[in-house]
Amino acid sequence: MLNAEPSERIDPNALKSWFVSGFLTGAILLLIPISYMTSINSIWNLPILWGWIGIIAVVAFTIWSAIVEPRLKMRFWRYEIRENEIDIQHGIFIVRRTLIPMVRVQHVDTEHGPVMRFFGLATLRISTAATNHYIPALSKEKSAELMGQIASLARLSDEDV
Amino acid sequence: MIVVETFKSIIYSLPPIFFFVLSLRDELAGMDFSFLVWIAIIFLILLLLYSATKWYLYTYQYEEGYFHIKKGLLFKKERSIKRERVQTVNVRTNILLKLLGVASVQVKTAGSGMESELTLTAVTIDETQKIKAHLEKHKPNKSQKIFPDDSITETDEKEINTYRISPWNLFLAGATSGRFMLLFSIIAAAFSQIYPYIPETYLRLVLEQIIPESGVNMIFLVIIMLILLLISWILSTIVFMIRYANFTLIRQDDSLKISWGIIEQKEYNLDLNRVQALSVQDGLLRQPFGLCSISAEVAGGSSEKQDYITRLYPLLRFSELPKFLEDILPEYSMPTDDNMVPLPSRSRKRYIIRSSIPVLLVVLLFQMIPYGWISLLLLPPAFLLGLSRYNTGRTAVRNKQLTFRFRNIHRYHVFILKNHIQSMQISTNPFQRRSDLSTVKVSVLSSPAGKDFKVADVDNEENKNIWQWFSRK
Repeated sequence: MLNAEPSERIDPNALKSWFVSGFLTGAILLLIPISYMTSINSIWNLPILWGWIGIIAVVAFTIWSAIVEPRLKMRFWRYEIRENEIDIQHGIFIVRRTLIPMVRVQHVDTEHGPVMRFFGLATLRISTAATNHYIPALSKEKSAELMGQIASLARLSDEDV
Repeated sequence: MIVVETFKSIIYSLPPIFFFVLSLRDELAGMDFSFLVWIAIIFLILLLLYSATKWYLYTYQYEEGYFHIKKGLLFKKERSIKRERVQTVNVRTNILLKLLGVASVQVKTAGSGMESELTLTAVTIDETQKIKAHLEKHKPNKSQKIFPDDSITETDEKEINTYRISPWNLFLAGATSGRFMLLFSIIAAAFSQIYPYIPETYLRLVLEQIIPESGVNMIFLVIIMLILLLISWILSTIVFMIRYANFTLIRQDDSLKISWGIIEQKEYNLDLNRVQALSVQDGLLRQPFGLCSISAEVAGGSSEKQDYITRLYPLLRFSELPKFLEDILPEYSMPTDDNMVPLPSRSRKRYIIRSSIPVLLVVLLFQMIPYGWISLLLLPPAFLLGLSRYNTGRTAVRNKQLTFRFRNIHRYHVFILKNHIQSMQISTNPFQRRSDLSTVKVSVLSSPAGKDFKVADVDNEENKNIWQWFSRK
């Protein structure tokens, strides 16, 4: 579509982070079918088949969210922060390219869960008066730097909203 | 104010009294009539006293920069509002207030809900003007604009342009508003409830006056429907005409003044910098007559729904639009036809498919029930809608203004200035990528949440133009 794609990609460490968090989520979810098979099944004598189906579903979901999806995200997420605007491109099937003028930025947040913190990553959230955007998994230094940069740039022309 | 408050309390207390009387019907019937009259008089005196104290304790004053208000007997309440924080001052009247020669003033500040509003129930007309003038004198946005040696241009800006709707146009607006469909469904529902109670012979008698020998039941029903439709159309038109009578729009300096109504007069002040986008709607019923209505997306405002999308003008001939914009909103302009870029022919197919497929699914589902084939009739309109949406789609950029033209059911022209666009998104799905098309979407600020406008399947080249126009690179 548009000629030049945004230049930056998200941090490679994100792969590890997403792998770990996807894996952990999968492990917790796995408790549901396992507990079904062990306790509930023996008490109420329900078919054991549902338990297996549950396990297969959880495993498939874990493979997707821990291994496949992060790789796709890595490949398709692009961003670029210029002096006057933020340019984000993401999406696998539907590719979305978003342009946010710096003047329209209302506030910027960084946020990180325990896993992301362990890998030194953070998600940058950018809000305008009407819309919300985010860039996932930036290195902590980078996100802090960008946050400062955006905040100072956005402050420059606060008058006309 | 005493009178108004009394009236108000009487009106508010009527329903409880009614139920009270209803519940004690038997006991009351035994009582002396004059005794009841005495009760009523005492009640009235109490109400009057109550209103009078309320009036006595309700004081307001305005001084340099502030507006103070004090009220309450047991729970005293005081508030002072900084003039700069006042967003709008609305003056309202109704018949009772008009008879008494007073009006109510509503002062709104930023924020939402009851807390942000303040109403003076009844002040004299003179006083309303004074309050208004006082509160609106110091708008922060205006003070910024006054430069010492620019005073000449400042006075130039003070021109006032007024648009007042003519009765005929108002009638057209009401007649084509499409609201009668809603009313029709209500009336039809009500009628279906009453229907069994109307003797059929009587209905038949009425009908035979109109067309003789209407033996067939189907025709009978259709005619009743048509009559109901006509009634609801007339009613809704009358209601619309009364509600929006004397609709007036005034551009003065940097604000728009909108007022309408006879029974209840409403006045609404809109600061120009709150207008985030302008949309011109050609309703399905209006477009054939070349008529349109104009509304604005407004940022901020109160909890009232009326404020979100503000009706700027209920009816205008489409050909008069450029003149209207020039007079009222010279910030916006209507691009000429050759300035607007149509959709490429390769997106026609996609538009038709998009609007036909959901209908096709419904039709397929309906085949399972008897008479389901009737649903096939839905297909041609869906096809035509898709085609018409394709034909309607246009985009244009000129100077600081982005223009979208698109159709959902009604046709819209949306004008947005570059500095009001919060963000822009261009998206493509795999099918669009194959044929070099993309969808462009812009978000603007509009209470309560933002609002998006988009045009699907635009030529990539054109979207690149729009992108570059918006980009500050």
